[in-house]
Amino acid sequence: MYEFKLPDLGEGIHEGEVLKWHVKVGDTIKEDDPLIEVETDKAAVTIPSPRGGIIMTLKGAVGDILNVGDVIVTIEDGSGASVAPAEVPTKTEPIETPVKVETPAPIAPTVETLEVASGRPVPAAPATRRLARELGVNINIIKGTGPAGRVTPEDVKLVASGEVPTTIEPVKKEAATESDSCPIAVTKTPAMSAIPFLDLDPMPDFAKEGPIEIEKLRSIRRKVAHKMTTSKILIPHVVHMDEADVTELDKFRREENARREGRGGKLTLLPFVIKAVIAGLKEYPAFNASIDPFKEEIIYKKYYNVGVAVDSDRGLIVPVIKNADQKSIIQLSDKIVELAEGARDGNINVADLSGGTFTITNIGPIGGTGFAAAINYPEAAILGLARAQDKPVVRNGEIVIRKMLPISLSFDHRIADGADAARMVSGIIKRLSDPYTLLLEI
Amino acid sequence: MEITSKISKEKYLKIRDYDYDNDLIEVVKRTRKPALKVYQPMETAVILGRGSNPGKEIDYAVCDIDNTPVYQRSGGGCAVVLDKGNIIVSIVLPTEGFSNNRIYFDKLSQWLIGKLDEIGIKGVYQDGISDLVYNCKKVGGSSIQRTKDYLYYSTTLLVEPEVHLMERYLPHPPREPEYRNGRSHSEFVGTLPVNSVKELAQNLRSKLDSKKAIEELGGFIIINK
Repeated sequence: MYEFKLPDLGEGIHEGEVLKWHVKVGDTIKEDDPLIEVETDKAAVTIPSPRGGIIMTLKGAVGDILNVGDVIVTIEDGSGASVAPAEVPTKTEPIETPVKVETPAPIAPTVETLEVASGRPVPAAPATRRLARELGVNINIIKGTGPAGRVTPEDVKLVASGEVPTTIEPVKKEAATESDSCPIAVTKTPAMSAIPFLDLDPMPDFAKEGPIEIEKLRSIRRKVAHKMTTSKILIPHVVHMDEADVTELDKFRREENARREGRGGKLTLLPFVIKAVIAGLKEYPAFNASIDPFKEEIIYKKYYNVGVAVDSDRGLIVPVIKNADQKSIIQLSDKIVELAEGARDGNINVADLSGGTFTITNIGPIGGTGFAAAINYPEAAILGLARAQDKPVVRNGEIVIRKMLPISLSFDHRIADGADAARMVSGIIKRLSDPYTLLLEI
Repeated sequence: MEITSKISKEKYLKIRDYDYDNDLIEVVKRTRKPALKVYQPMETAVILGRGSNPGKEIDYAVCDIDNTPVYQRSGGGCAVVLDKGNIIVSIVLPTEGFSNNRIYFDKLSQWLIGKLDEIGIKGVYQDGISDLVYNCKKVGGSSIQRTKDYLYYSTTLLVEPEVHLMERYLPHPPREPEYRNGRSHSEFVGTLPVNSVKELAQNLRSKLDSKKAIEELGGFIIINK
């Protein structure tokens, strides 16, 4: 039996990910037949079999990480007892390193700013650049001692240790082109805040308190983080809350659904809310505007693109119904279904995710009695809907049961005042409470 | 003989093998001499790495809607978008064994950087494993496929890339080089300082299509004991 170990993949690489097995247990193979594909860094490597015979065992499934030296295949080759190969068959001679690292140079590297001033990066291997970053050394200011002035790891270490002349002048930011000065998208190290009393302290070591799991902020989650931080820092939010009596509207909606049984999707309250909101936006255009903080201008939009926040597996997505004012209740209903399904399936055009002028977010299907939504920057307001439910209310001096819809309007106080918001919300409530008025306005 | 792969042919029926450099590989297998070619993609396509998980690395549904073809290359690395704004330089070396891939990445990347310098494109350097970088932005990416008898290196140079398509087709990659610093595709990807794809292709071809270039590449081959 021959035990084949994952061979040396070179350059200090200790492991590889299984991409594909070319064999399965029981297969008869010849010497040099492909056995397995593994990936290390950006190289996909097909490893051939060093022996012919019958495959007896395989270790690792696709996606698994195998370590160099692990027995990954056993082959019945008729040799009898288990035999470990004395040496990897294709081990190569370490003839040369990628960037020839000279033996310690007789001269110490010198530090200068000339190279930086020219805007040209200094030559160095990626591993050396990485080392420089780790040691906090600006590689641009080192004149290397390697071939053709290449900066070597020894150069970096010497500079880091302070064993070279420290006549380093401040590096001009605009001239630096190296990766150690590359811009970052997310602040990874604590930064001083320019806002008084706002401390950006480093995160505590949560692992000291108990088990943790770390997930990189990516994709939609990262975009939401950016958008919401911008919104909450730039926009002074104020929230106005109220309840709409949607008893009659809900009754109308249910009757209409019964009448339309079997003819398309069911009507929800949302398309009616959109219609009521658009009527309100026409009366109070500040809530359909944006503020340009740089020009100190308010931009009033004369079109009505209403975003509808959708909870998807990938995170919060806000598909936008363009020109919602020009669509009927049924058309809005169909469009909501289409966009929501597309957003949840990841099957939506970028154009349908941008250009909104006002957003509605609805947590009603999940629950809740009310909430303060964050404005979808750079819009000026967002309407939050919670769960409509039967509640006892007083009508004409009597307690009656009515279906009440909690609504909240978060708005940008730079553009509008509380009284405007109260009037806007009152208008929405009036229309939702009296569906006939609403329908007459369409 | 194959057991499995991350790519389920049932689910992703339209993923094709990227075989545009197979001619080069065949030549090297036959002649045992290095070979290279420079070319411009003639269509927009999404290219998966050999080990890419299409469910995580690309938005397959959007590619499907746009009728954008999806290929899988034989080299490693993450998914990328190719379009007419790129130039591809593919090199195949007749190697033995499967070690020293980092060394080959470095040798070939540095060689290509030198050639770019010779045609007047200064200031490109290597970072990450094998990225070509200019002004802190990625302007070239490469991958390697290694078998028992050859090494296939392919690099894509970015001149006029359709970055918005990267945002459209590719979620943030599962792995990233340190210098990316979490930047989005549009923040991270740059362009080589040339006037046009055509100009770069012409200049590179005139520089690389030579006996000298082949001889230089031959000198990179590490001989086994």
